[in-house]
Amino acid sequence: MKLIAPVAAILTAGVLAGAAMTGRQPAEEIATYRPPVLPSRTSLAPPAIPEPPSLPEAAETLPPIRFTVTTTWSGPQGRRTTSQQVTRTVDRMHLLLRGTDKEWLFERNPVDRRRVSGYLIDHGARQILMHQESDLRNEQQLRGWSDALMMRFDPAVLARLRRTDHYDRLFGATFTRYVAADMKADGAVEVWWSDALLLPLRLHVRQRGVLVASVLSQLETPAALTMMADPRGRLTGYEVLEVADSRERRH
Amino acid sequence: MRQANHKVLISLAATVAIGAAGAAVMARGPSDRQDDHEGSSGRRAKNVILFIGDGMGVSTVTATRVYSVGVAGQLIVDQFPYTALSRTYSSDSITPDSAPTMTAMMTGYNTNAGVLGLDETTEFVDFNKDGDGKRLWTLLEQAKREDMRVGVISTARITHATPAATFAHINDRNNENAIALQALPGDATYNRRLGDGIDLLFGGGRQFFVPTTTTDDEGGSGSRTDGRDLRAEFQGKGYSYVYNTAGFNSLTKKSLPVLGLFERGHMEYEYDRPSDAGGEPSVTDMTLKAIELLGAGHRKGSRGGPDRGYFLMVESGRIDHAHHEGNAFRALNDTQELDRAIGAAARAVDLRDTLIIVSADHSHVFNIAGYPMRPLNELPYPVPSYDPAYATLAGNGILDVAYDINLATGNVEPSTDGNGVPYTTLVYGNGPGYRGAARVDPRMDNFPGRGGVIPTGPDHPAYFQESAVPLGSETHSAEEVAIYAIGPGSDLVRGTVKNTHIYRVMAKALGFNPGS
Repeated sequence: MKLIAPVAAILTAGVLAGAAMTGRQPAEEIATYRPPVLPSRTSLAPPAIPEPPSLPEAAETLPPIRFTVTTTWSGPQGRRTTSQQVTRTVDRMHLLLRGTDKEWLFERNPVDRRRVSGYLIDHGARQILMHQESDLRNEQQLRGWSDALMMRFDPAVLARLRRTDHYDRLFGATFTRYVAADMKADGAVEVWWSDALLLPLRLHVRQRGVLVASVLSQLETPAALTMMADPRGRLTGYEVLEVADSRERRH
Repeated sequence: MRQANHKVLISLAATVAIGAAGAAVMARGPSDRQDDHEGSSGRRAKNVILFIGDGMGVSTVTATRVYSVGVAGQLIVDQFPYTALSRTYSSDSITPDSAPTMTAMMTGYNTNAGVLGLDETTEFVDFNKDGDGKRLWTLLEQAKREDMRVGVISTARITHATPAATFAHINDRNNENAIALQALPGDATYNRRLGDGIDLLFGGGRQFFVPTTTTDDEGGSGSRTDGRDLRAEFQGKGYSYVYNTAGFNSLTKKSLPVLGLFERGHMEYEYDRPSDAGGEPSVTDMTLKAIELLGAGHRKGSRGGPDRGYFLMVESGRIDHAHHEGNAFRALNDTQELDRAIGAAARAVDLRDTLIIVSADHSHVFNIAGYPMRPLNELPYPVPSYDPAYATLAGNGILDVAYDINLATGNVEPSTDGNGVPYTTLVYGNGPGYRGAARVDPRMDNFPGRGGVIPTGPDHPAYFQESAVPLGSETHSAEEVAIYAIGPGSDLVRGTVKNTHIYRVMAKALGFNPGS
């Protein structure tokens, strides 16, 4: 092939050079040449996507912490409870989904620290699914690092609640109780919040007749942070995929 | 299990066939050969641009037309004078993936699922352990050999199957660390057919150019396990490297060769693009920039000589991903953006010397159902009455429930299923949008969409169109896709052809001998 290729190239080049690029196009077609007309598009422009939320100063000095989150949904359909073990540092958030063979690791973006990416580790499938920022925004409703860090609670909600004199002290922090004026309205109705830890110790949210109650317990300093390491190095032999590619089942 | 010498026999047979016929059609049987229509206008194009909508089946184009310009409007591709239907089956599958289909379009040869740039005696990951088959010549390699400038653009990762099929030869489309090296001049595995290298690469997939231990330009980590930073190595070979819109906008003809990696993974959907950290160019932006850079002159260090034109491949890679998610909204938005890019290209080039071909690698189980009426202001007759929502149809009617006239009352109202429940115009044959017997009026449906969001209706960006079969991911389909063409040599695009015909049209337009 190496010997033949240059010869073929010379021959082909000769053909190319000899053929006027447009010389064999019918004159009529050249005369009637018109570029396509750009149509008026009637689809609406997509709405602007808001910037990822900025973070309070306390987000830069948070101590490593591990705790259990127990969430209970109560409504007409009955009652359901889940439990997660959460380990958090200033730039990593690890969720161990109890009762499943899955875990999440969220990473704070070191360049734009409002942003987040993540890995969903599926031990059953031996897969690590990489999630980009927009995957997390669209599929997990995480607008940025703040939503991961604060367990999807937006502290701006506190402005709409009444601060009470009740408080609780745990893990060296004070959690102050906030309540809604109308405890039966949709939205957050009771929050025990710490400005120092940026966590809701207890959170009650009402959604379409369902009361969602989240409670943090067993707050402690983690003995080890091995789960915060890049899972692609920690779990050798696992298939690594972008989540978009995982949907193309065969490949 | 194949015998070890099977491939030798195949190669010999192919060589004899090529010598005897003077054409490089390596077909398996009569039915394959019938798919390729011969013919020549004898014309020559100076430049060729191939646009691929990944997963852009005919129903996707139709739905996008309604969404974008109305059912009677004209997309850019509708204005192209030559069209054909392209059969997409691969050597081993009725319904293909992108690797063999793009290989077919780039080489003129069919091959197997998951295989890039190697002939059909090659199995995915060589599971028969009998070695790989013949390395096929791609049109991009042939163009490079003729001293044309070449460019590859994708909104997916630049090492993903479709763009990789223009320059890589590998039995595993998922081995993207290796695919990236095949484009790096000077590497031990470099594809030497690329000469001094691909002149322009725009896309996502930075992770396969960055080590796992390194934070990239936008704060993501790499995926290279060999510790190599290919961004630096490409720059060491003379490439200009950019990763955001600021760098992109600064590119000039003097910047060639260029490596633009705008995202750690796939680039964003067009709808989500404004949210990117560093800013991403659209597929239209990238196409126009590529035409500007490749369109004249020579890259630094080249041997000069006459302007021999360029070959450019542009892929809108995420139409496919949106369909897999069962989310028509993003599929239509990305298809619309691809049509914009095609229009921008068609107006930027001289169509008397530039052939533009548009096609898809495969279709999806995506359909337009019922007998939806056109919007109220498009009807050729007055209607006695209509449901108020009919006056404000979403997406010109395509992203809404189907409305039809009740002939008994003259009222235009939602069409209903056997249980009296309305249904949407767009549906999937399978996928995550399965509601089963519990289906309700889509306008009041609490079925969770993307991210568990409860959509406000079928036009909501999170909405999953309903599917008939419950699957976590919607699938490709085997039906034909369209080919649209304009410019010198486009008259060969006609009839129902195998997708290998696309290669042959481009090769003839450029005066290349197929397959060599």
